[in-house]
Amino acid sequence: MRDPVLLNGFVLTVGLLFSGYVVSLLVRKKINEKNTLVWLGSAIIILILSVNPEILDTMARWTGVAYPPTLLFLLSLLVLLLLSLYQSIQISALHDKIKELSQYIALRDAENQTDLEERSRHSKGA
Amino acid sequence: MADTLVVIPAYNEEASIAETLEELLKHNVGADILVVNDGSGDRTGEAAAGFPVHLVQHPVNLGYGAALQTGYKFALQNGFRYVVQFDADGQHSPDDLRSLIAEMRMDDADIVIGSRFLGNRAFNPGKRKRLAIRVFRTLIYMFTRVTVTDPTSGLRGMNARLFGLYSERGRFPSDFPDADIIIHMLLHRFRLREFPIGSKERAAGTSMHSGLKPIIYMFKVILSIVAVLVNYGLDARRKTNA
Repeated sequence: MRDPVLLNGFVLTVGLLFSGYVVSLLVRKKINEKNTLVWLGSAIIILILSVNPEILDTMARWTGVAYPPTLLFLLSLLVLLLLSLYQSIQISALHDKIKELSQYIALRDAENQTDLEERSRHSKGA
Repeated sequence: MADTLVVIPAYNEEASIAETLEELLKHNVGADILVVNDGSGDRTGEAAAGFPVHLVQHPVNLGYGAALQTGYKFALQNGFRYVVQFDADGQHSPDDLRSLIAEMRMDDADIVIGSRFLGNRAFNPGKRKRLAIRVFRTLIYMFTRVTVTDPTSGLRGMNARLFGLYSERGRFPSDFPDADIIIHMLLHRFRLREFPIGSKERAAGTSMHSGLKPIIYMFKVILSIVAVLVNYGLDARRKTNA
């Protein structure tokens, strides 16, 4: 096996940079707390795995996966799948809200316009 | 104010909206007209503003279904009894609209659909579209035992019971309400009736049904139908449990 320390160091650095970036986004109010939680959660998982690679080996033995790194890929894919599904749900909800808002504004605008026209007609008649 | 509102959803229809409105006003269909400008990028709003019609303008493009729903909301707020929808592109004739309004006022159905197939036995909307219509017709019959000859017709009228329901949030699709909505209506025991109309060729613009789109569109509607059926099943189960 080649130097596992180098690889672990690399993964650790990536995990740390990633969590740092997520936190800085939160501080600058670029993402809300709810989303931060999800991303920080995945960053923490990366960190734990990079510090204790044995966890992966143990899990692979339990699940009968012959080559432990593939388990890592499988898990990360599943997490990403869940994340993008969650975002799809959020986008749909936002889409619905924007629709309701736009309709509300449009109808209010039309109402005000009619009121204005009626008032000007009245004042002209008087 | 009339008891009927004609809703005309318009998206980038500056080329045909003026002509459509002129034609409608000339024929005096005996109803108020509402143009819903669905965030057009061209001068559709300005073109409609010169006419004695109601005008509601979406600040952004929301889709055909959302524009219709805005019309339902407008009708609800202003106390109309009937809503009929009419396409801005001049594909329907004002005479057909007038008969649709007369059919609505008979009050024997909650929704009245103008069928191009009943009006003209030889009506041919093109190969792919005909396939889609056939599939929808079969699906509607399968689940409701009602034959609807022209489920994709854009010329429809509803009464306040129905458009009141569909003006509620989350009740109406914002893209293209189609066979899914018809099945929804029929499952919930709304009364549907068709009557014959003639169909003119499109005056301007491109049809939304061209190329591969009808096929993709068909699958989208089938998916919506599945959602309607599952929802209906869940509702029924909840009722029996309660």
